[in-house]
Amino acid sequence: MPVWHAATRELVAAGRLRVIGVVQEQHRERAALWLKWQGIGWPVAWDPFNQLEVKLVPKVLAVQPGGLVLKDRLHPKRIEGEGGLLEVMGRMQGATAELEQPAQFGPHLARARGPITPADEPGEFAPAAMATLLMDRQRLDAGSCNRRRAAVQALVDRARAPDATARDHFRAGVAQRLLLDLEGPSQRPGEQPNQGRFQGAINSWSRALSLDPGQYIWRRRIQQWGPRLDKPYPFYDWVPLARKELAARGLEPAAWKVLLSGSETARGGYDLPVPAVQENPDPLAQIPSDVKQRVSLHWAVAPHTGFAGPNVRVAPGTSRVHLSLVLAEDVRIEPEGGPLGIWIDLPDGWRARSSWIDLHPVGEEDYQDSRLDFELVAPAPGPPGEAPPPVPRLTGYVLYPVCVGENGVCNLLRRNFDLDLRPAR
Amino acid sequence: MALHPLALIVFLLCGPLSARQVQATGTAEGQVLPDLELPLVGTEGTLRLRGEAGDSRPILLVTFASW
Repeated sequence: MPVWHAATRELVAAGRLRVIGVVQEQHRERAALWLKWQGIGWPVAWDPFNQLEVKLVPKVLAVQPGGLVLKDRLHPKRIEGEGGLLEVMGRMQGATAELEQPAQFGPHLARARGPITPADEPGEFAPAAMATLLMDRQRLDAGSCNRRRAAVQALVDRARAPDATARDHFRAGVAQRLLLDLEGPSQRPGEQPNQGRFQGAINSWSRALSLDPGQYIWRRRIQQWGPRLDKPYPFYDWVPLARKELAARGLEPAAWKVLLSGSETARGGYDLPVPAVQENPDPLAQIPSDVKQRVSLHWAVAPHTGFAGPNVRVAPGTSRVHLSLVLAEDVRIEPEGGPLGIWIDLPDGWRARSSWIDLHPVGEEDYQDSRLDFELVAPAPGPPGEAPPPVPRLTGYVLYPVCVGENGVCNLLRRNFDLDLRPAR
Repeated sequence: MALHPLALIVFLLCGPLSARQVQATGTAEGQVLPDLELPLVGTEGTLRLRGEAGDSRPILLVTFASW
């Protein structure tokens, strides 16, 4: 994009061209940081639901006012000459189109502040729900939460309908992840927690991708949280440098509510993890079990997207596993009280960096929001035509030292887990 | 030669219809962008992809992601 920015700067300044951007990302604030860092001042719209229905990015279009696409494969190195931007602009000169009020979406955006009711026309229901989420003011009062949840439910229900399309599944995934990021994993007492929203999003995206494996916007949404083996490039490794350089310019960027996971900054690569030998800290299960569920475990398994294509390069089950610990209200983690991490019982032939993995605090020393993500690699697939072996479940346990109340008792507790690693279809 | 009244009716009905024929929406050449209004990144407000009324400048629409 910086190349396009430089190539069009003079045309824009002369009032001969209007450049607009549409960003195909789940998180709007990440795109905002990148634009600020790159010094790009175009108006840029946020399209997390991929309503523009592009299959990959970047895609650069020459558009006549009114919406007619005159050229859909422009290249920044061909501004002049036949088929270049200037020649296409010449064709547009004098072309004027009468613009009516936005027919498809404008009224829905206007309606975003109103409730979504079952009485809405079925054809308008999904756009109204998307508009509600796009225009969300991130308030946590009861009315805002109810409206937001109704919007998410409308999109999830749409994806459950017998005539649901791949696009419906993708949008249901976007909605679930938006809800999780807006409200956080836990909700106020008495309300449905957002446990499972992340996995719900990944499952919805996986179903969408299995119906349309050529949709690379959808594929990237899974790969963002998926294994390194499946990454075409690191997604957000530029963030620390952008923050540092903006701070040096005196432009302190705002803190993000949704922090990056390890997967989102990891580099792609085909090197398999070399397992570090670790000792099982509780082989006989002697550490007391957290029967009162002082901590809830929020899991999500992001599969290698190879499952959705015809050329399976890795065996099903290869994935990136994400875990967040969500503490009950009067519980805190006391890192001095013992090991904080998880033990995984690696199935035969499977690989991970280690069987014991430490949980990390989110932010500086904030152990109250601990989480981790780690990679699992299934054994190499057999020869072509041979059915892959069934995907085993992943078992293990989590250890966490917690204290209850201000001056309460502190304990090291254990919770077993049993995860399904199969990609949703 | 006088125009047959029926032919005149057909011409009057079909002429305007063909001029207003429905164009496919999409992002390929010859298609019309979906009439979308989306929220802006980094600031308040919304953006209409087909352009704003009264603005006759050509539009370069760049779809991208920061990754």
